[in-house]
Amino acid sequence: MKFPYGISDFHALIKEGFYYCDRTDRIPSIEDTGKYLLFIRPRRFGKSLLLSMLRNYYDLARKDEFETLFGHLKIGQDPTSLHNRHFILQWDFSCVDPTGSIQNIRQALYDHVNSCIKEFMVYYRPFLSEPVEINENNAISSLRSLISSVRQTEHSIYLLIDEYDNFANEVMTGIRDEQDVYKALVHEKGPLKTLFKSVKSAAGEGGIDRIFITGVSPIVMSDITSGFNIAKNIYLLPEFNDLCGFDEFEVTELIEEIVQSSEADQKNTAEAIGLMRTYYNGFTFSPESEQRIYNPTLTLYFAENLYRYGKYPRKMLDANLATDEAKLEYIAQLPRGRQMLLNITREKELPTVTDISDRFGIRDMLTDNSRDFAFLASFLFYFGVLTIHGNTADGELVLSVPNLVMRGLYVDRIQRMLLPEPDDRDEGRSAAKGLNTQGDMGPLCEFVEQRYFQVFHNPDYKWANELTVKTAFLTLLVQRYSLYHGLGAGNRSGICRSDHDRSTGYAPVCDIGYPDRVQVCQTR
Amino acid sequence: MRRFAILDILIEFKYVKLGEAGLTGEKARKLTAEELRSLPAMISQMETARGQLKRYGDSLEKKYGDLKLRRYAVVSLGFERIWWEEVDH
Repeated sequence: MKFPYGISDFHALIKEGFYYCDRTDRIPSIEDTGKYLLFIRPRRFGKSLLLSMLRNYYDLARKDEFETLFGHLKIGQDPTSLHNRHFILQWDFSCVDPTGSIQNIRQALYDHVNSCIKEFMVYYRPFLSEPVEINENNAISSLRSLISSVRQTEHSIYLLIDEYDNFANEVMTGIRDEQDVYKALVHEKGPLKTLFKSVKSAAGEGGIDRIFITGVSPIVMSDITSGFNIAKNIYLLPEFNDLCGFDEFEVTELIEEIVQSSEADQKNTAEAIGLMRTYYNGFTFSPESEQRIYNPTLTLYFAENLYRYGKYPRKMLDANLATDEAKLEYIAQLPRGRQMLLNITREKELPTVTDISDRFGIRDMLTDNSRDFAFLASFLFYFGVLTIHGNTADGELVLSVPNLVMRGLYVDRIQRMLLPEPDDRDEGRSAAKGLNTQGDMGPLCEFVEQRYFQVFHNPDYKWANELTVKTAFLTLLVQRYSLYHGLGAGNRSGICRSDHDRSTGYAPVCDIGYPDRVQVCQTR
Repeated sequence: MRRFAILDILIEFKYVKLGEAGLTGEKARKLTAEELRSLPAMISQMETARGQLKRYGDSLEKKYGDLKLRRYAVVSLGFERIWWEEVDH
């Protein structure tokens, strides 16, 4: 078996015989939903592979390869009439350098768009009769030229935009000084807004027939929305809840296949799946869905380890995911962000919101005074820190941290927010270790009394209350154990059985859902 | 089967507001350990915590059998002082 860890090129993936979790059966439904679509998921969720699959399906230059690429997949039996009918123009805004002044960013964006158009010209040369003029200083003019060339043919463009908000997010969550750059980026005459305006006009004229945009949050789209108000939000729709990521059935199948075909025969499949559930499971993206979705990057990381070495990875978190903490850092800087972050640690009082905001701009975030932190919560939802946990009796959405991997990142972040000095954190961890291994509570209480309590005297934490004490202990006790599972060689564990976790019988470390009680148990 | 020499920890937290103890933050910080432990509000919370630890800890042990359970009551006075006790079975 070959695992496509980090591979997002559908063509290579199929040709080279990598494992592919078939989502081609969604193609008809994507076509029916609309022509201009916006699909939002957290990082490392397989969005680029989805785009690559669409690219290979619609690309008119790959008509001869249809059978090889799609013949054995679900869509192969009954393809839609649009397969191999479009020119594909693809942009990937994660390639755009987000640093420097607004002029620098504008040029970086133009350079990227221009180079994509140049690739297009080379790739589709046999199909184009009219030349395309590249304007190095203004990619919008290059795009117009491309559109007029394409309109001389009988085909139109399917525009794929990957990570449409990547560089804008970098700017947004960067240091405070960059807020002005962000505003300039998305404002009336800003480069991003202008570019989307010209895409919209090309769509209106028929040069661009379909558009599929992926990103991590709708914030940038909201901020440029008057320039591009044609994209349909499909990310909260139940039929696309699992468009990216694996469902439980698929994970089970994958693990069973590995166990059968590898050295891992002595392994207990159920145990492996239980472990994956605890650490990786738990995303629900649509308020109308109850299906929980596994992060595909982590699933493949785990699967590959199991297949190659016959055992679980020593560290359950793949380092590629750790960079998500920048978003938590950003939240921790916001006026009410700290309170929001601390509130989430209380399992018994999970945050509830009337709804996930499907469109909200940066201003809504910065001035979020809503009682339920609706925008801050939505922000964390889109970045995968929170997910939909369920509904309250009166129809509000309950949000929670989806799994142990996110919880580990999260608690670690809170610890750093409360204890900015690395030495303090080391001291705290060593005190927590004393309790966990020797039953020595004294040093831990002393540490909380002397360090944490000082922090809570700061006016920034004037909302701190009795439950904050438990949070302080939690950040110290959970942190060390949460990212390592207890079944490998020599690691301590952080899972305990309890009645609390509805789906697994295993609950995340330390918290059994009572507001004033902490429990740390280990896996048996 | 237990794999690692790590303990199972159960902690019951209680919180006494400064106002309930009739103290200011400064006065609370100056209390000796004995004075802290003789405040009626603290004693009452400590007793409650002990009772809860007994009941909940016993039910955990009954349920899992092979726990290496240690139980602690942690009572904090504002964000100033902590009184903790390990509670036996």
